[in-house]
Amino acid sequence: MKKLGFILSCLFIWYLAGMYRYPPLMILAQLELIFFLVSFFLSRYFRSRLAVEVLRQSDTAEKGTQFTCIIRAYNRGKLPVSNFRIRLWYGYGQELRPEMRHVYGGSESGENLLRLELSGKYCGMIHLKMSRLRVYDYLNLFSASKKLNEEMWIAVFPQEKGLQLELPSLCYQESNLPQELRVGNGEETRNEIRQLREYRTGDSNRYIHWNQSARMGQLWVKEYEKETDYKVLLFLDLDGIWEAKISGRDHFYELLSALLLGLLRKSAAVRVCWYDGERKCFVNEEATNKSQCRDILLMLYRMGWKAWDPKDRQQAENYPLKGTFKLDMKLCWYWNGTLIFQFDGEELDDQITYKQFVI
Amino acid sequence: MNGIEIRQNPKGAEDHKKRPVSVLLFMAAGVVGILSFLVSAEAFNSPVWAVYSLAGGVCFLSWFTYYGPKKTFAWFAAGFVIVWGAALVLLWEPVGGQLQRIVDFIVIGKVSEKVSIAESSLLLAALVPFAVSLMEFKIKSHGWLSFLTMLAVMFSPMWGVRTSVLTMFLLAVFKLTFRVAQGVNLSNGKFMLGGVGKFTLSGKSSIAAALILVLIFLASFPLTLFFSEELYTGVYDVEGGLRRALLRSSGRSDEPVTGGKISNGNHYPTGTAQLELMASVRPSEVLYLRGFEGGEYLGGNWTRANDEELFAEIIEKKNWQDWSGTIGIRYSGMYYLMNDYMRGNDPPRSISLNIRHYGGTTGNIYVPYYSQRTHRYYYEKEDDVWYDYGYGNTREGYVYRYYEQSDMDIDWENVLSNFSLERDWFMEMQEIYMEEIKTAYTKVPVQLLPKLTGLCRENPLTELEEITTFILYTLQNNSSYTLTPGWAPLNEDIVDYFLFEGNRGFCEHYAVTATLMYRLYGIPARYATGYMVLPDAFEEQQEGGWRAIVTDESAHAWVEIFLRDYGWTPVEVPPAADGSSVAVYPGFDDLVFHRVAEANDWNQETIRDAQKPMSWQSSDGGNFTVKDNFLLDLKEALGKYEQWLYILLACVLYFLCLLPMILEYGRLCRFDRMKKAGCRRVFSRLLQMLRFGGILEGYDGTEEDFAEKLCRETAVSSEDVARMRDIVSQAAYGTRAPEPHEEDYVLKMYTCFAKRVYATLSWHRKLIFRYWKAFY
Repeated sequence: MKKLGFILSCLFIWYLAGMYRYPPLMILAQLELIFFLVSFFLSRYFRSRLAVEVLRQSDTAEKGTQFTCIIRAYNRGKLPVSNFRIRLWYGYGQELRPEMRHVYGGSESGENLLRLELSGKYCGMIHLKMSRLRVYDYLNLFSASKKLNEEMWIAVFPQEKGLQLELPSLCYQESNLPQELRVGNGEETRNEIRQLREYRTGDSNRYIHWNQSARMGQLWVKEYEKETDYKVLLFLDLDGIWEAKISGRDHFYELLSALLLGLLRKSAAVRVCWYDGERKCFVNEEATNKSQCRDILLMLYRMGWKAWDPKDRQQAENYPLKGTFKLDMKLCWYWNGTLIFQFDGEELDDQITYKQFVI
Repeated sequence: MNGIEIRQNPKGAEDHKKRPVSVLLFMAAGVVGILSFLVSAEAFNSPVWAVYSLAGGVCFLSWFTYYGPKKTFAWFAAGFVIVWGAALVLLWEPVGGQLQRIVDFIVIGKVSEKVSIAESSLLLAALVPFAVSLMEFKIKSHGWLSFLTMLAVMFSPMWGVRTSVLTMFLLAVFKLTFRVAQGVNLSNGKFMLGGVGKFTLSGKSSIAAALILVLIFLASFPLTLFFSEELYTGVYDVEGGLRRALLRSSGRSDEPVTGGKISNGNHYPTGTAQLELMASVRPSEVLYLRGFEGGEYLGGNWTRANDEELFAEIIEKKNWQDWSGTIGIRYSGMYYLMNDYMRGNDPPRSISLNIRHYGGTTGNIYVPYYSQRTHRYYYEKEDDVWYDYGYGNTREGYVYRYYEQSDMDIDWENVLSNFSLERDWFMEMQEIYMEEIKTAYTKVPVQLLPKLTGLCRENPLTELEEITTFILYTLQNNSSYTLTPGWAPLNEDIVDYFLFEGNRGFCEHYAVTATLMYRLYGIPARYATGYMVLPDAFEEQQEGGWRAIVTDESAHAWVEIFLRDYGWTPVEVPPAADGSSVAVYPGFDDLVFHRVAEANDWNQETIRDAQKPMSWQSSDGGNFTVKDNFLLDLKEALGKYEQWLYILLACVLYFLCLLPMILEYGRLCRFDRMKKAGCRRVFSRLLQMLRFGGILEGYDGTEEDFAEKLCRETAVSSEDVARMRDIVSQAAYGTRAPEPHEEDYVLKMYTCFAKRVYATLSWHRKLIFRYWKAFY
């Protein structure tokens, strides 16, 4: 329509120029007509000169926070490209039907780094795909497109919040574990008071140093040294993970992250174990810091897309739960097979932030 | 919503305002372009330099403040509104009058004298750049401004405002560059990626667009300069085709011409038959069939001449109440009858003419000069036998008997005695009619025709011969005949425009101009329309008589003047194909024309001096006129060498056609020479080629790491490179000449490297590589 309008306007000017025998108007008509033709070739020229790609093919982001995806537009031509459009598909991996959006940009001669700001509401893997590039001429009359096959994966992790746990007496020894789950030589650990500090809201009563408090007239709390070999075992029951809604998985990941971070505050390491339905085996990973927690989450995000069969379920149920935490998709948290607490997805954020658990 | 939110990029550092000079220049181009319309209108006088200086100042301030610190533009805008409003209040008295003149100019038309609009133009000069900056910068609505500007550009010729080429170019720059800039800046709800640097990008894009526009201008300007006629003709061909198709499809193409409306555009005859004529003998002269006579000119239109009023006055004056019912009929056949009565020994032969309309009569009939309507149709065969169809015409249509002009020879004294009474009445009638038409058919609306009136006043003439000669000279030297003269402005009379600006027209324009000039000199004249049928159009029929099919191509307009003993007589004023005079009427011919013209020293130059510039020239009073005149001179100067330019152009085109073959031949020759020169030469060329491709610069082939580096750069195996170097070393320093297969090997390696280097080059370097350097 725009093209038709433009060409009709040019022809009308030409017509008037002819009718009034008006050379300046004739030159104007020609200017516009030739510019119209040039615009067609400009769009082709720009297409051949412009290359668009994502700078990093994978990246990480925190849930709910803004993430910047850098798109590199390289214009090999001398003329700036005033406008181009990228067809962008985005979604949570295979989980949801991806949505499509056209994003627009421009590029001067040479390399241009463009930013795409996005944020993920759920934890998981965001998949971005640029499938087509459409380049416009200066007047946006003509466009020329070419296929793109640029992809980017963004792992969206939960925000760093740990559960408030108190588990001074819980520990496991590597020797108690089945052989295949052992990582090293576990030794009996002993807690040592590192320092005394003033009581803060949320501190457990059992760590109050009553004697000192009585002497000083205010509450003092004992802080223990973290035991280097004090390890916790966490079993993840992933039955139904792929049947769950994305929000359900999001709650699970968030709770898992909080649990891991909470456990890590109180122990040297957390051994996380789950049954991989695709590989038909138990997977166990150890996390000693936040980065490894994220690695575990990433492994879960990338896990094969396959629903469990009854055999898988049987395998998972056979896992020895003695001395082990367990977390399932219903957000139930167990110790030694006994339910400690069932989290509620709707109130998960509050429960993670404010609730204290003493084991 | 799938849980992912893509956010529009907030304004970042890249959107930081600078002061881009390009924006100022493009805005100034638009402002100058818009204002030049004002100063171009020839009806007004305005202080050109003051207008442009003021506009430039406001332009600069708008730009400077907009790109300055925050709110500076708002302060500037507030200040401007106050100052401008105060100026308007102070200058309201002169400005009000000037605005009234401007509106009059737009509505009524051109004025004879220039009007000063200094105050108004200065106020506009300040307002236009402010409005432009407001629209472009703050409202960011280039579309409307561009639309309005283009509307003014397109419709300015309708009001006779003609600007220069430069103005058009500036407006085109303004229109396109701001459109490009705003296309980048305005996302219009689209999702824009961050980091685009829209501000810089829009500036650079609009500069690139402007540069492209300059290149196109440089190409289209000579195109219009040399091929303007062809460009116009293209438009006329299209319009003509459409209009003809419309007329034919609507069934209106066979309607005969009627009315006294002067065409304001082009004439596209369809070639459809409109009349069928049957003549008793073949006419020897051009036959004029008059269907309309113009009485009063109303500006582009004639009222039908009303002789009945004249006759009523004559009856009143002469007390001829007895003739009141028949005076018109008697007068209409008066000259035919008088000529018929005076046959003498060698009687002239009248022609019987049957006229039939194809498309119905539409209430109009076409009358030959010196004729009388009759009910009989005659034709004569070669044996001179007369056939009479009897009373009541058996043919469709109507019949006139008429004398050709050369057969008119009224001798009032040589009349049959039984017609002497009739003759006396006719003589008296002629005298009194000639007296009456001096007032009835000499009226001219001089206020509509200031230029034509001025021309006639500047050249006072009294004798008919002189007047006719002057009219013919004026028309021939100031106009050219064409059926496609284009349109005339709406606010200017077609006659003034035709003679003083357009300088192109067809019979209607010539006839109306001549009629009015005759009238301005006090000679009774009428504008007549109808058909002009050439004798060649008549074809003899087997059953007797001569038949002519008259198409709309024969539709014609002419001027008729009243001659004693002839009555109303047609005068042909358009120039003949060779440009000579064709006006011939009793007492005036080509010889008279030249005699009178020489006697009065009417040559081309003296007449041209009285005219305005022709259409090619700009009529504006600004500086650009000088440039346009320069271009006109340039066109004329180059026109002298037109033939040579065409030859040169043909040679260039021919050379361009041959160029690929020449280049290919040259390349192959050089490649062949290299092959023949041996492997050392090939190796030397290889090094040159590598350097050209940016590989191994500074290497001469003797370096130790040559082979290794070459392998790395070109992905050719090091063994191959080493072998090639050995062969070349052997050829250079060894005791034996290389074997033919070794020569071939080096050449093969050379070709292999050439292909790889070639693939890495940009297109223009590929051309140099292949055809200039002839590496491959």
